[in-house]
Amino acid sequence: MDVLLDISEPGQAPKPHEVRVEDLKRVVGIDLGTTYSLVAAVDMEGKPACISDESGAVSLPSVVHYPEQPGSEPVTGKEAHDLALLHPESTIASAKRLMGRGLEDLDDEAARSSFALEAGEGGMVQIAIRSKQISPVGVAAEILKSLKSRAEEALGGELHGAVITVPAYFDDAQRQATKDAGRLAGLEVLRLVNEPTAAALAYGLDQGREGMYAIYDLGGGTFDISILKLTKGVFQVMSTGGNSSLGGDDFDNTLVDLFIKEMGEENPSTELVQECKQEARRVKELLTEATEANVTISRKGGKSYNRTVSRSEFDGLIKKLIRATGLPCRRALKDAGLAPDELKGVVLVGGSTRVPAVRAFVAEIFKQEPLVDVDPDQVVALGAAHQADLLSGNRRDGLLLLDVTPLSLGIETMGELVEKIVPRNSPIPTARAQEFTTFKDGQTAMAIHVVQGERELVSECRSLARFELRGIPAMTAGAARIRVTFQVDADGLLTVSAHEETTQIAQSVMVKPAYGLSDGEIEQMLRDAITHGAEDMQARAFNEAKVDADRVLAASGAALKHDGDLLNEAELKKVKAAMLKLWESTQGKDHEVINQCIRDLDRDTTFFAQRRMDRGVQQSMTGHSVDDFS
Amino acid sequence: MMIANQPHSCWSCKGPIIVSAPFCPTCKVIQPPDLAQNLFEVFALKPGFQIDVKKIESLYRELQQQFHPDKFASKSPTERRFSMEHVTRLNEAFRTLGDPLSLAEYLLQLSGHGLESSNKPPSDPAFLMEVMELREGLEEIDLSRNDAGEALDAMRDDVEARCVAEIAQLKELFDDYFTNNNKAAIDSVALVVDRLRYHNRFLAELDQREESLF
Repeated sequence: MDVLLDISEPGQAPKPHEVRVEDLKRVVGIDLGTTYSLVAAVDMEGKPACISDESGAVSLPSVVHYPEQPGSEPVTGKEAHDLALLHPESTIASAKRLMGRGLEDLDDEAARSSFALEAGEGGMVQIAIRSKQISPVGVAAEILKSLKSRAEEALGGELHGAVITVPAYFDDAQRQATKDAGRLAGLEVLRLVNEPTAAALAYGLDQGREGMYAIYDLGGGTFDISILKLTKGVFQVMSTGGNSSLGGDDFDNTLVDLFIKEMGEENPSTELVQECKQEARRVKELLTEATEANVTISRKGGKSYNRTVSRSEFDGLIKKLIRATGLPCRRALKDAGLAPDELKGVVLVGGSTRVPAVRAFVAEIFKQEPLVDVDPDQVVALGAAHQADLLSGNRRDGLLLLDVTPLSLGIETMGELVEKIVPRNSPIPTARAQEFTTFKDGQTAMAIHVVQGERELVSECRSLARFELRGIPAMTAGAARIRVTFQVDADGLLTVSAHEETTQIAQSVMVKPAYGLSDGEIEQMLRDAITHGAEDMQARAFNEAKVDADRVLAASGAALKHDGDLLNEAELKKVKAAMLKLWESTQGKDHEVINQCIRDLDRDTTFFAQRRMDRGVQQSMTGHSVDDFS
Repeated sequence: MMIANQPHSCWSCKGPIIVSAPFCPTCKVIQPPDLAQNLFEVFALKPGFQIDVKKIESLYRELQQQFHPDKFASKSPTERRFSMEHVTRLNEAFRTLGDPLSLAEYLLQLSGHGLESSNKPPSDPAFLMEVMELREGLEEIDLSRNDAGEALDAMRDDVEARCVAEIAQLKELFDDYFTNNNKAAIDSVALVVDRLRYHNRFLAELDQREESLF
């Protein structure tokens, strides 16, 4: 029975504060970026570090090439990036800009893209490659898979889970799509964390700072601004804002447009656009240090296009784009109730903050020089790794992230107006409810249209889901009381329910705005991708059962320790035997067996629970608490 | 409060819990939040209009450290759900108590005073006049002019001053209601809350106009 004593008193197992490598869960943080992606993990000393590939590079270009040969695997990263010039139509870059989007959201994108975009089921954008449709979620999953295998090699085994970062300003559909990509790559997504929040975590930890900070995050395709309050290890997001389709790619595109215009090309080939893009990026990067850079683009017939771009000319081209980041910044300050001089510092995140004109603008709007003492490319992944470590239970050091929902959530009311239910910058998780009523006599159904955004008109907000509440008993207009509840979880994902309150039989509908992919589609894709979908499901069910078994064993152990005197020897033996059986089941592989053992233990201890309650009642009658006796 | 209630049993170890507590005294497992509690009790406070925001903010952080879903990420689904329910309620309490308007509205609700539908036009003629004047003033500001920002700022200062006065009024009325037990004061509260709500909305509209300047 020695083993039982061990498992029934978990707090006294080995040495509680000693970190042993075999006890640590293998978890990582992933920065799934528009142009580059990174993976990081926390080492034994609790320091996060990015994991590099065999060539020593930490950042993986977010590019996926789909080869023509049937049966061949997609190619990712640098190799795919190099193939983009040869095969622009089957090499996908910046897929993050397409995640969770409909084709109509992407007019500009579609025109500029070197690959063909089509509307898939439900209007969601799909990429057409040689008569096959590939979803942006599938592309992101390839990048995640590549990072997953890199991490598994470095950490020496299968990953237990990952935190994936998303732009703070991502809407519900974009978040859902990111989580789906993780599932598709066979990752257990522990949490979606906002990029600026992750950056603050890595940054604040390094510096041990306190006070109000602004995180200005301009990446390849997205812009975020977050205001955080750092107090005794609590990172509290006060407000957030941004633009989920503004970034360094747009800087490149201003140059691409200029080159093509000057070449006099009316209908440039995808190859030419691709070459212009790579040249534009090179020029942009050069102009961070240099005041001018040369452009050379070879054209058909041995001709070439040559030109010099000066930094001031480039600054002029991107001025409008940079200024567009100003409004979200001012709004975020206002929402946090702050003046610029109340900020302790402004932290720059994202490769595009290397552009000198961006730095100058940030200094102007926040009336202080931004802090640049952390690598803006790695800081998000490092913070995500730290958050993954915290969530896995590997460490308990009192650090905590408190985040908010970036965009207001509401439903459509009369006149195509939006009634906001959860205002932007509400701390999550949150639940808010609002009552509505019928407007016609005898109305038995009500259409509920869930939208996200700040505008007053439904047509100017993002539509997340539509559903109908049926079975409302016929009443006069205005008599029914329909309560709509919005629940936003810690990932920022929304669930909506509605029910009628005046009648006994409440009708209730649960809706997950499954923008992009339905569960069925995910399963189908898992099967298509021949990843170990079934095994994953098995492993997950087993882990859940084991976690519950551990809880039941700990609970039973605590009960025995506290109230064991209520049992005679035979009874004690019986309870312990059931516990042992449950413990043994957790050493197996079958979650069904574990669940059966939990039910058996429950049955075998019913009388014990009854006696404990009886004693509790007696003690409460005499006015003592149970603890007085122990 | 150490009232000896009828004990209920812990969902996990099935043992008795005599004094309502967020964690089981025997097995230490998280319990569901007590929804019979009002939002003041989340911070162990008595209902009232005077709230020390600094104090509840530091309590808020402490309670987040105890209950946040991140602290239960590797626990069983039931424990994760209870953690989320606790924090959802904690967020609701902090939001409601931290803002004078929502605090006054909540106190009205606790007092059993029915909330007027917030979209109804004001019934008080003097207030109706004020609303019309404010609206006219706002429409007169020409957003295309260079001094539009200053005109909006002047209007904001004016409306903010009205809000400050209304909050001071509410403080007195609630004082009368709670300390002198003057139940009639609650009807006056309802009228002031209507005004404060209107002025808050007006400020939000000013913000929107101001944003359109950039």
